[in-house]
Amino acid sequence: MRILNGIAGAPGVVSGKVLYYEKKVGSSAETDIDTAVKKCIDKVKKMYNKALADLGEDKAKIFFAYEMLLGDQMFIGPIKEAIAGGDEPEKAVADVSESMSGVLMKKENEYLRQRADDIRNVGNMLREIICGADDDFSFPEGDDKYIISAQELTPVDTMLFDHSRLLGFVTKEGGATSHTVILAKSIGIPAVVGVSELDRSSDDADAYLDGYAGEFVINPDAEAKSVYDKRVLDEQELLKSLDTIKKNDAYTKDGERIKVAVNIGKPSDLKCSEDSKFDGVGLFRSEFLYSSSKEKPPVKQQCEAYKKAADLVYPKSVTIRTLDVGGDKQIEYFHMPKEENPFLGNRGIRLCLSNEGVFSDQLKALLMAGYGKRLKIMLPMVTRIEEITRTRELLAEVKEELEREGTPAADDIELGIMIETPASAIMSEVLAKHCDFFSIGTNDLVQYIMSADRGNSAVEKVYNPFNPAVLKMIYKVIQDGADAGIEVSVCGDLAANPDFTEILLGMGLKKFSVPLPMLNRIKKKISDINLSSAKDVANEVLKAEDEYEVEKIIRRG
Amino acid sequence: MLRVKYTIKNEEGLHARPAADFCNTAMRFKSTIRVIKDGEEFEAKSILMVLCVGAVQGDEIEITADGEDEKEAIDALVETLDMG
Repeated sequence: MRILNGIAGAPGVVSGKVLYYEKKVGSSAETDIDTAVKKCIDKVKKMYNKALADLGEDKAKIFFAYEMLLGDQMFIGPIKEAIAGGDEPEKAVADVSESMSGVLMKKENEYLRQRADDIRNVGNMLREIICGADDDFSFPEGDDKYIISAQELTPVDTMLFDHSRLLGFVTKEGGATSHTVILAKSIGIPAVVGVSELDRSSDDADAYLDGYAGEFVINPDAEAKSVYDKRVLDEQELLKSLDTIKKNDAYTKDGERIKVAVNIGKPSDLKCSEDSKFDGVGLFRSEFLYSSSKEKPPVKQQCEAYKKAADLVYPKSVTIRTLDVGGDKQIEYFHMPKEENPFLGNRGIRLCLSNEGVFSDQLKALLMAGYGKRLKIMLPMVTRIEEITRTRELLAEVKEELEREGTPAADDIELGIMIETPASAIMSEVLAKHCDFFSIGTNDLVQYIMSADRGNSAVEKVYNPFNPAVLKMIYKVIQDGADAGIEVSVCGDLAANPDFTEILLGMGLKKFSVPLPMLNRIKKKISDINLSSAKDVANEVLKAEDEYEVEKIIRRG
Repeated sequence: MLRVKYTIKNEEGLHARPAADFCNTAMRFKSTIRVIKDGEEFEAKSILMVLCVGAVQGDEIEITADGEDEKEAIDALVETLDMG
């Protein structure tokens, strides 16, 4: 058995036979570059029409861009020159597309780096035609479905497959925004990409592909089979009831309404929500505005992004977390000296309050965007009351400024905090008097409570959210929030982990905030749970002495 | 010759699809059209060059058009970017 890890691209869990896809080299080599380009354009046009019919205009447009690239003298010209200069056509195409995509690879923006793939894809197609690659791919006889594994899948490759026989995609190359992922999502199958250890030895193996966890399990043993078969079953259950789950709000089996919101990194993430119902945005990370440009983002630009998200979910609310960076991630226009221990250093709200100019700009944009909308502000990394009161002072100053200018601003905007430090969890009873809501950020909270870096494999055992120290802390925060009458949600990994849903519900949690791909899965999980029995499980778990005992209680199901 | 400054609003920048639309619009005009970013000039009628501009959200670019239909070209290109 081998478990290969990659990037969770598109959601879903499947089991089946693996088919390793690779291009076969045929004999009909085309050495004349003009003819090869013409053939390639014909092929891309066909792809465009097929994609248009299968997937719609938006998805098809990429092939239109490919066609333009093939007609682009800036691309074809240098290839022809290199051939005229004595290069083999295949080498000329490879060199030119590599150097052109190299220019984009150097860009700082992840999206543009992905576009380097577009140029390489077109180059590869052209090379395949020159070498006479055989692209008449067909599945083996029968109706069996397959998990396609490959080095890399271009949009053209993915269009060749008969969708009804696909179980999922797993590739060695590619990132979360690659075309393989986009297409997998639109077909509705799981995809795991960036699996560095993937090779052709996976061909014909029995395997599981988990698009939530980003795992590809080859030749599973009995133990793995029982774990993954359950995931496959859960997924099938989910798919069966997906239409109902999607359309409805989340209720427990015994009828308690539970809110499930989503976490986003930019407004356009909401496009993928399709027609699913959810309770607004529980966490909008504002970092993208800051990390994608070299200067601090203008108030107007920030305001537009916040407003867009608020508009998209209105009348539901959107909770925007103020800038959350620290010494481990440099931003040029901040004064950020190198720190010995960045995770205990000047980060989150601390950094914002030591750069009040930048912070006030963000608060201003938030107040402007919140006018007439339902927008809440959330502060990261809070440890002391002063951080909330100082933010309130700044908010009042900015508000006054806006009033003087005659710019409409939100009244009584809700201000809440992330509970992700031990100090804030211990003091939650007091902090609840100073803010309007709590959101528990479990990733940092576990890390700080257990004093273990989640990225350090040597302390992997210590970083365990099942540890009673973590669970007791979470329970305390939920209770303190309820006693004070303020909303408490969980927005970290635990909210999206189906193993924790029952415990969190039993502890009295009324709001989850999860990444979009997990939305309906968590809603489904909630609908399968009885609140009364969840309370019993939570009580039992809170009496456990260590993480092993907790895990035993949970696995018992 | 006409020139206009433009700040990219599209949050994913001038990537494949918007770049294709932009370039396609440029090709409808006879004028010589260029995109300038950080002092570097790029041919607007080549999708490859438009991609190489590497413009991301918030970047300021300059578009220049020179020819009989320069006014129409600039207007159409700005409109294309606004829609991106």
